[in-house]
Amino acid sequence: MSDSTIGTIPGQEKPRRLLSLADSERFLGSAFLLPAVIYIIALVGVPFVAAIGFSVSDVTVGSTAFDFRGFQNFEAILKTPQFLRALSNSILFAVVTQVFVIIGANLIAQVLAMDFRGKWIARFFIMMPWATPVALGAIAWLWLLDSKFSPFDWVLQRMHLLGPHTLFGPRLHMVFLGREQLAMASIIVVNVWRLTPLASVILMAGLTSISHDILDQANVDGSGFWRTLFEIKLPLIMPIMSIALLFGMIFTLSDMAIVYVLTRGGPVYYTQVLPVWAYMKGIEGGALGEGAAVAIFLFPVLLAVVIFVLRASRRMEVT
Amino acid sequence: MATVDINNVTKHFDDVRAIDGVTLSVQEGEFLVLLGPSGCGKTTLMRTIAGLEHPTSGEILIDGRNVTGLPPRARDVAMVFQSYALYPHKTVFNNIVFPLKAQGIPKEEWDTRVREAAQVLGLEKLLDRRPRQLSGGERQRVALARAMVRDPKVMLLDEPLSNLDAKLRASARDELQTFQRRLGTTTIFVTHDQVEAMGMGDRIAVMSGGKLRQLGTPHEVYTESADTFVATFLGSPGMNLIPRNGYLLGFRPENFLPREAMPSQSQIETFRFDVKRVEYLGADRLIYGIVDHAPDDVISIARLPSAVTFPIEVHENHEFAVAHEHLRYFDADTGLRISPQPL
Ligand SMILES: Nc1ncnc2c1ncn2[C@@H]1O[C@H](COP(=O)(O)OP(=O)(O)OP(=O)(O)O)[C@@H](O)[C@H]1O
Ligand SMILES: [Mg+2]
Repeated sequence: MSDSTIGTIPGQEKPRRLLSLADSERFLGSAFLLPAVIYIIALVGVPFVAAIGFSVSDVTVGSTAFDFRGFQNFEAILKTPQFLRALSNSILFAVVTQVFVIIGANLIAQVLAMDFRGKWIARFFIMMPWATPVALGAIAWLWLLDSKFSPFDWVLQRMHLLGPHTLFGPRLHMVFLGREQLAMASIIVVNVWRLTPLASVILMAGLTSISHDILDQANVDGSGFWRTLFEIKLPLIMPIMSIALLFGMIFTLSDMAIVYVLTRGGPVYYTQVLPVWAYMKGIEGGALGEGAAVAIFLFPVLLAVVIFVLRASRRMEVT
Repeated sequence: MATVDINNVTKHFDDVRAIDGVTLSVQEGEFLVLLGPSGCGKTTLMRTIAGLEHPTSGEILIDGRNVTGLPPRARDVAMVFQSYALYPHKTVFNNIVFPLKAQGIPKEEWDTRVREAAQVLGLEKLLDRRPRQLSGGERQRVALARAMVRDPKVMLLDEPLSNLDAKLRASARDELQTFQRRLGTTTIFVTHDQVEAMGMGDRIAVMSGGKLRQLGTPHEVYTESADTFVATFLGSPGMNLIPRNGYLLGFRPENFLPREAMPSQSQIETFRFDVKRVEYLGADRLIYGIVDHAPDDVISIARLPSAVTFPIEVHENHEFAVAHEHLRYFDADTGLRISPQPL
C-alpha cells in the first residue's frame, strides 16, 4: 500500500496509471522523439553507413557482390586530376556564392523590412527563385545562357559591348557555359540567384525582430544610417545571419542540379563539383564504390562548415 | 541647459488624436513632470520632442530654435525609454560611449567622459558587463549614464522608474533628482504615478486625452486644480464633487471632517453625511457615504487622520463639515474651475 497516496480512490486506479504515463516526462520525451529518430536513422543513418560500406568495396551497378577493397577506391580517386578540381570547385562555389548572397540578402532584407505599400507582393516575388524547383530554374538558366540564342548576348550586342571592335571581342557570342571562367561564374550566378531569397527572408525576420526601442534609441543617440547598420543591426542579426550562411553553404555544397543541368562539369572537367562527379561515376558510370568514395569526401567538408558556423554563432549570441 | 517650447502641437495616428493641441514651455534647468493616465499621449509627446514622431501640426523649439523638421540627431536631446533600450550586444562601457561616437566627439575624450558618468551613477565596476548581466536598477542607471554622458540640452525620461520595485524606486527617485539638480539639465520626466510627480517635479503638466489640462507647481495643481479632471486625478482618493445649484461643489477628502473635529473659529459649510462604509488604512480612515441632497450614485469620501479618533459607525447619519477656504467650484458642463458661487 505504499503507493496509495492521499486522495487515491480504489476505483480510479486505471485512469491514474494512464495519467501518470502521460505525465512522465521521460516517457513523453522518448515517445515524441521516436519518430524523429526513426526518420533520421532510415533516411540519413542507413544511407550514410551504406555509402561508407560501398566506398570500401567494389560494388558496381552490375554486380552487387560485396568485396572489401580497403582504401583502393579512395586512392584511385585521389590520383585523378578531377578530384582536386571538384573539391576546390565545391568549396570555391560555396564560399563565393555565400559572399554575394550575404551582401545581396542584406540589401534586400533592409528594403523588405521597411514599411511600404505592396511589401507583401515584393516579398512574394523575391521568394520565387527559392520556390521554383531547382532543376526547373537551372533549365531556364540553361536557355538564358545558351551558346547561340542567349538573350544576354543579344543585349550585349545592342549595347556594343559584344561583336567586332568591342570590349568583349570580335566574337558574336559569349558562350557562357563553354569557357572555363565564364562557366564557373555562371554557376556562381545561378547559385546566388537561387539562394539569395531564402537568406533575404531569414535576415528580414532577424531585422524585424529587433526592438523598435533599440532603433529609436540609436536614432536619438545621434547614430546615422550606416552606424546603425554596422553597429546595431548587423551585430544583432549576426547569429541569425550565420544560420543563413550555414544553410546556404550546405545547399551549394550538396546541390548537384545546377552544375549537372548547366555544364555537366564541363568544359572538360573545369566546373566539376563533388556531388555531380559522384553521381556521374557511381550512377551513370556504374562504379558505385568509387562514386560513394567521392561522396564521402563531402562529409568532412560539410562537417567543418557546420562546426565552424555553429561555434561562431554561439560566440556571437547576445541576449 | 536649454528651454523647450511646444507650440500648439497635435499628433494624429489615423483618427487617434494622441496629442491634441498642446502648448507648453519648459524653463532652463527645470525638472518638469508630465503626469497623466495611461494612453493620454505622454510617450507620444516625448517622442515628438525627440524627433522620433513628426507632429501633424504645431512646432517645437529647443533653445529658441525651431527643430520641428529636424531629425533626432540634430536636436541634441537625450531620451531614456521605458524599456531602457540598452544595446544588448554591447558592454556597459560601449553602451555609454555610443552617443559620443555617434556625435563625433573626439576619441580622446571618450574614456574620461564615460568614466565620469559611470562614477556619478556608481557603475565603475560594471563597465565590462553586458546588459543581460545587470539588475533592473543597474540597467536604469546605465540608461541614465548613456543619456547624460553627452551633456544634452534636454533629457527626456519616459517612466524610467516603472520597472523597479517600490524600494528601489524610492531610492532611484532620490538619486535621479539630486543628480538632475547637480547637472542642471532641463529634464522632462513622464510618469503616471502622482506620488512620483508631486515629489519630484518643479512643475507638473497634467495631461488627459491628448490635451494639457494644467501646468503648475505640485502645490498649485493640487490645491488650485484647474478642472474636474485634475481635481479628481490628483489625490488619493481624488476630490469629492457634488452637483449643486447647476455647478459642481468640490472638496478634498482630507478637508471633509466630522463637525466635532473642525476648529470652531473657522467658517464652515456643514453636510449631513450618510455613512455607507468605513475603511481602515493604518494612518488614515476612509469614510464612504452620500451627502444629503446629492444623487445616490455620487459617493463622497472623507479621509480622517488616525489622530481623529472620533467613532463613526456604518449607517450612521453624521454631521460633517468643510471649511469655506477648502471649497472649490466647477462648471457643471465644461468642468472648468469657476469663482465661488452662493452655497
Ligand atoms: N504608432 C501609433 N499608432 C496608432 N496609435 C498610437 C500609436 N502610438 C500611440 N498611439 C495611441 O496614442 C495614444 C497615446 O499613446 P501614448 O503611448 O502616448 O500614451 P501614454 O500616455 O504614454 O500611455 P502609457 O502611460 O500607458 O505609456 C494611445 O491612445 C495610443 O493608442
Ligand atoms: Mg507611455
